[in-house]
Amino acid sequence: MGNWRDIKLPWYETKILNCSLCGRMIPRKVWIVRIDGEEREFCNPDCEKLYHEYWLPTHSKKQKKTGNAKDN
Amino acid sequence: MSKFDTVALLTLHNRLVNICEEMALVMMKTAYSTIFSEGLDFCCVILNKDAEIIAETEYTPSMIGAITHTAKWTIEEMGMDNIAPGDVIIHNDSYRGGCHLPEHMIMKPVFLDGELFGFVGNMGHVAEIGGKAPGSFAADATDIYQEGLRLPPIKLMEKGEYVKDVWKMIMTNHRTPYNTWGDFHAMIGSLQVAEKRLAGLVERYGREYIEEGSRLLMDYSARRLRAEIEEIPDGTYHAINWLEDDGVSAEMIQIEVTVTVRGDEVIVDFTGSSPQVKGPINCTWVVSASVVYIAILSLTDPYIPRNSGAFRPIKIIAPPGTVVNVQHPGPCVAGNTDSQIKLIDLILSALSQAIPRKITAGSGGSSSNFLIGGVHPDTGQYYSNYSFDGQGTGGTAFKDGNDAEIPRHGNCRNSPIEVFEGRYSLLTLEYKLVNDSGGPGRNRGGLGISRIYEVTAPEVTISALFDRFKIKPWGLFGGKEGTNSSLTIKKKGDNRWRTFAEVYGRPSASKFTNAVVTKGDLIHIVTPGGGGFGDPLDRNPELVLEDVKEGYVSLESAKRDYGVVIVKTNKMYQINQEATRAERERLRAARPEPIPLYDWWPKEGESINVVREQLIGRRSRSG
Repeated sequence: MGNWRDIKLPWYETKILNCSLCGRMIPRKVWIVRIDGEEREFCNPDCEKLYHEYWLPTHSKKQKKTGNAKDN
Repeated sequence: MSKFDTVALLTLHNRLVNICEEMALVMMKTAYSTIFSEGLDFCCVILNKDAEIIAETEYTPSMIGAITHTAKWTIEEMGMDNIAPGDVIIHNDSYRGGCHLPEHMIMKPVFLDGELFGFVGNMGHVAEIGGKAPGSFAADATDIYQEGLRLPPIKLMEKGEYVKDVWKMIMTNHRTPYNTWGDFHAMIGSLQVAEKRLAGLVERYGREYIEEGSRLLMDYSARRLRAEIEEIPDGTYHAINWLEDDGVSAEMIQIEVTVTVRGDEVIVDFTGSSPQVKGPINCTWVVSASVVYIAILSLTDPYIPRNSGAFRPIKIIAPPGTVVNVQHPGPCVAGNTDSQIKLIDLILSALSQAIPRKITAGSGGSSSNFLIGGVHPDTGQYYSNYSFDGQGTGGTAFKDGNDAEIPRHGNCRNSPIEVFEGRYSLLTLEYKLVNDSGGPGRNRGGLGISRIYEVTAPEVTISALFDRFKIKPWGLFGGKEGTNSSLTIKKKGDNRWRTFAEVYGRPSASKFTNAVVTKGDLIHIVTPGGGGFGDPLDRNPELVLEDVKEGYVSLESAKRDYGVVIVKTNKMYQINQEATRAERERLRAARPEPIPLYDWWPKEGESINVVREQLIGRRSRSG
């Protein structure tokens, strides 16, 4: 079960948060979910759903070996 | 019971689209720079309160796919509480949900009876926004700060009044502020017209009717697109291709896609693409998203209303830190022009395994971006111009490729020679289609163009960003590849054409910045031809004869590639039927069977890297 969190950034901050699934830059509201004890940030619950349905079955083995772009 | 049947719904759709068309006409007629008035490098949309597209003009697809994301970011960053009637907001920042920096979005909230109805917006390629190169297209940029002025979502107008400090700051940082002034006002003018027309529509039909109709239109588009996706066989389809270099080093860059079709949804996953590169061919996420929308929508019914509903069945995965999702401060100006086309073709080549009859062979694959700037000898004023040229598109199952067409993600027009010469110091000596540039096929690839300019001013600064110098557009199902592009210079007094890399000592012949040319120099642009579709030996000989008569195909190619023997007597061309039958039989017997899907692609067990090396080798072998 996830929850919405506001991103508060100072004007000088250049670091931008990307969705753990689609990679999109997230402006101000992020959908936070704990998966395997780790916090993951998504654009919205739809991306979380696809993470479980598509990303994990397709990429989890590869991810363990090389790390996906998000984990780099 | 809904007030809407299909006719009522599509009538509303047409009314909304009509408003967008009028917005576009205002921009075209009132803009100062040729990239708007002639190139039509912009789009116009109506958005609902959530920044979903309700209606749009079919001008520049890459912007249409992007603008909803850019507008959503704007609303989220500014906050609706800070947006009031009469405000006009501008935003171009690649690292806030934007495209490359020249793409400026301007949007205006539409309040009706004090309540927000939605937004009207446009996005346009502003021709000069500062940075290291005139025309703001630095092919060797290594960070975004070299590419021009970044604007986060800020107000150009507040409650109907100019925010003068913002205008002054922007005008100070652009080389041609007068053009920017005119173009921004063209954009704002188009928004004002749209606001007025929307108010009229609401007055006639009622707010509730328009809002419900807009929701239903998006649902309708989503349903129609889902139905079309369901027709594609479920499965996973994979493709790899390369960008030739990034303007900074000579290394090729891999792009990779896996397209998963499952029921009525499609997932386009770019995992495997190269890490982001130093040069400006990186794409922002929004640019990659546009790629996906363009590719999928180009395969489906063109009469599906183009709105945000049509995007719902499409999922996109673009890993951050790669060439398809650049992270700050990576440069990205060419991601929007040249990488984007390649990515569209990449998705199409993956789907050619599932729906071969809907896919084109490889298209030109370069916008052939050509920029000039300097101080005009007649006016003493700084000037700058960004222009592009058409290329050949790939042949399809049903027809030949188009000749001299601006790539599909841009859908723009070239500048007429008369307009160009009236404003700038380059004289056009030649502008023609290139004979034999279309890949041979049952349906031939479209032809590229050749253009020669003579420099007429004492000094002009040139920047360029081309691709397809090394890898040719591929043929499909037995069709042959199209031809490469090139960009060369003959300095005054020189006796041969040379690359800019050779003359100016740049690392890339296709991508360079700020080369100064002088009076009497000649510049030669050649754009790529498209790949052919299907076996050229199956092409109707009469069509080959027509191509020869038109000068599209040479007599030699007619015989060598199509097996059609044509004789010329008394200035008349005729097919020698008997010789043609014999030649086609001979060619069929001489070639390996079966015909591969692509004219290049790994054979079973062969590494994709071997093919990559062969592609480059082929280029050097063929000279």
